Amino acid sequence: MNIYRHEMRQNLGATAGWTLALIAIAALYISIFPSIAGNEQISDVYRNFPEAFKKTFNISEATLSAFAAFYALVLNLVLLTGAVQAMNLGTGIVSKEGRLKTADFLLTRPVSRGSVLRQKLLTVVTALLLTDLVFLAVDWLLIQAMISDSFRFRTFAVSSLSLVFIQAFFATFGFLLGAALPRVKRVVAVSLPAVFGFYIIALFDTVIGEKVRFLTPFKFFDVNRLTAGGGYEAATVVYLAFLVAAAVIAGFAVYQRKDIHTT
Amino acid sequence: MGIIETRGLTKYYGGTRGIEDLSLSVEDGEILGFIGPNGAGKSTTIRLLLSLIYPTGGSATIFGKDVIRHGPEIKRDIGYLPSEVFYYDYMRVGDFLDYSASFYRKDCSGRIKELSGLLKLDLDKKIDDLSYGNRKKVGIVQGLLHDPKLIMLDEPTGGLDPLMQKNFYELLRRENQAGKTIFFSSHILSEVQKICHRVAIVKEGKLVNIESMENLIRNNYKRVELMTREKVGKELFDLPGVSNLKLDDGHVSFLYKGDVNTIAGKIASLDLVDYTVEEPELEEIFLHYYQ
Repeated sequence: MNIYRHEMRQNLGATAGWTLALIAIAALYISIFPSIAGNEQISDVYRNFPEAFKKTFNISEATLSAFAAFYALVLNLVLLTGAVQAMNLGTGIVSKEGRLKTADFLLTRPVSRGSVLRQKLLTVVTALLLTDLVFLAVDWLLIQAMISDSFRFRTFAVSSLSLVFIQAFFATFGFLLGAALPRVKRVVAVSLPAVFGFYIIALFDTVIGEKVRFLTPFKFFDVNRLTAGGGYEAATVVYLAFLVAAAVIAGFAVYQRKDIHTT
Repeated sequence: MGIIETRGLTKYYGGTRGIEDLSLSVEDGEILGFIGPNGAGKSTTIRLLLSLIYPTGGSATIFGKDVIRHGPEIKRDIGYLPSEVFYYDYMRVGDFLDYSASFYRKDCSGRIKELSGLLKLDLDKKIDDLSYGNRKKVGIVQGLLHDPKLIMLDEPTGGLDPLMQKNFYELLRRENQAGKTIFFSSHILSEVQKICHRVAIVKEGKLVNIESMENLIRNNYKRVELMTREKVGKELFDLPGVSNLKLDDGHVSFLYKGDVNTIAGKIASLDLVDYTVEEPELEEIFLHYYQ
């Protein structure tokens, strides 16, 4: 477990940074809700927003009155941020040995490639769960402190699970790319286009139609429905689990057979 | 059975040749020099032995175990120093060496102290701040800190100043005397000549010769130089075992491998001013393989 310890130490700073970023986003939005709720002037401004803008940021008329609907807007941004964190982590942790040219060092130690990947994957899981636990705990406390609307814990917990789901997808997708690509020079050059690419696909949902639900993780579940007390559809959860497992298995398979070059 | 055995080891990168049908045996306790120019396949061979890359054909064993199936196990007893060293720049030398040591099930702190003292390596510096030569020293320490039975070196002395090279050879000799086997690739022949017991010569991905250093230099090859009163015809030395033949008026030089009586007879038939027969430099023998 020495690689795990090494990687955890390496990633602790970034994990703390992402956690703080998520908390800051949630705190900022939650703190403005009391002043906009039921505010007619703001509703007027909202009505003048272009439709595309409203859609991109998942804002509806209800967003401005009921907290449950407003929280969907917060969650939307949280999911996007969490996705970037997960994708960066997944892509970066495997590809760094190629980027730093340390793969020769690491893979000439008495450790199997499988063990290297297992320990790195465990680091990803630990870092993301730490982020999510700390963030969601603070998030819940913020809601309790600032919001007078009733927002059930169960609804909060169920809707928050979407963060874990979306991170599972992007972390393992990044993990696969990190293992398969010959050399990742800059992690963000891979992670940002991927995350925003999926996000943009989600914006074209009406054009694409019903099948968009299976094309982008941002449509695997409907945040508006979740914050309104709805649940997940079994089909998409199974589909997500399949994608996550497939990415992990493919990542291991590719990395085990890959020739390691330093130059 | 050798410490390293390869059988028909072959590696193609797409359509490009790495090595072809390479069969080699490295004996326990020897220092084997693996020489050839750049692109001959030296690094490919070493990377195959370390299972960093996978062969297109053939197989290899180290300590009698298949290098792919038992890779992690045999690497416990292998120390490897690559030609270019890259480590985690963000770490301090001491922390990095401790991390490296954490892969082996033994206490390496004594060796780390001893080796870094010998090479005058500052353990508190960040790897990022080290000069190339000092990085190389980090490489030497990480390659030897677990007291490996087999040491593999890929063009190891580049970037080391002459004094450090001398210390490094001293260190290798000491390790060898303590029973370690050393597999040493290089294109610098004087380097190999100084320290190796046997030499394997590779050319265009193939093994062309493997011989003991002594055989190679002392017994088999002679460098013959003759000064004659009359011009000598080329045909006189047109016999097996003669190579690198140069004729220049009254001056003749060539390398000879074979029965000394044959060549002595030829020389005796000439009207000589002077003659020398000596051991050639390895460089000359080596060039002979590449003609």
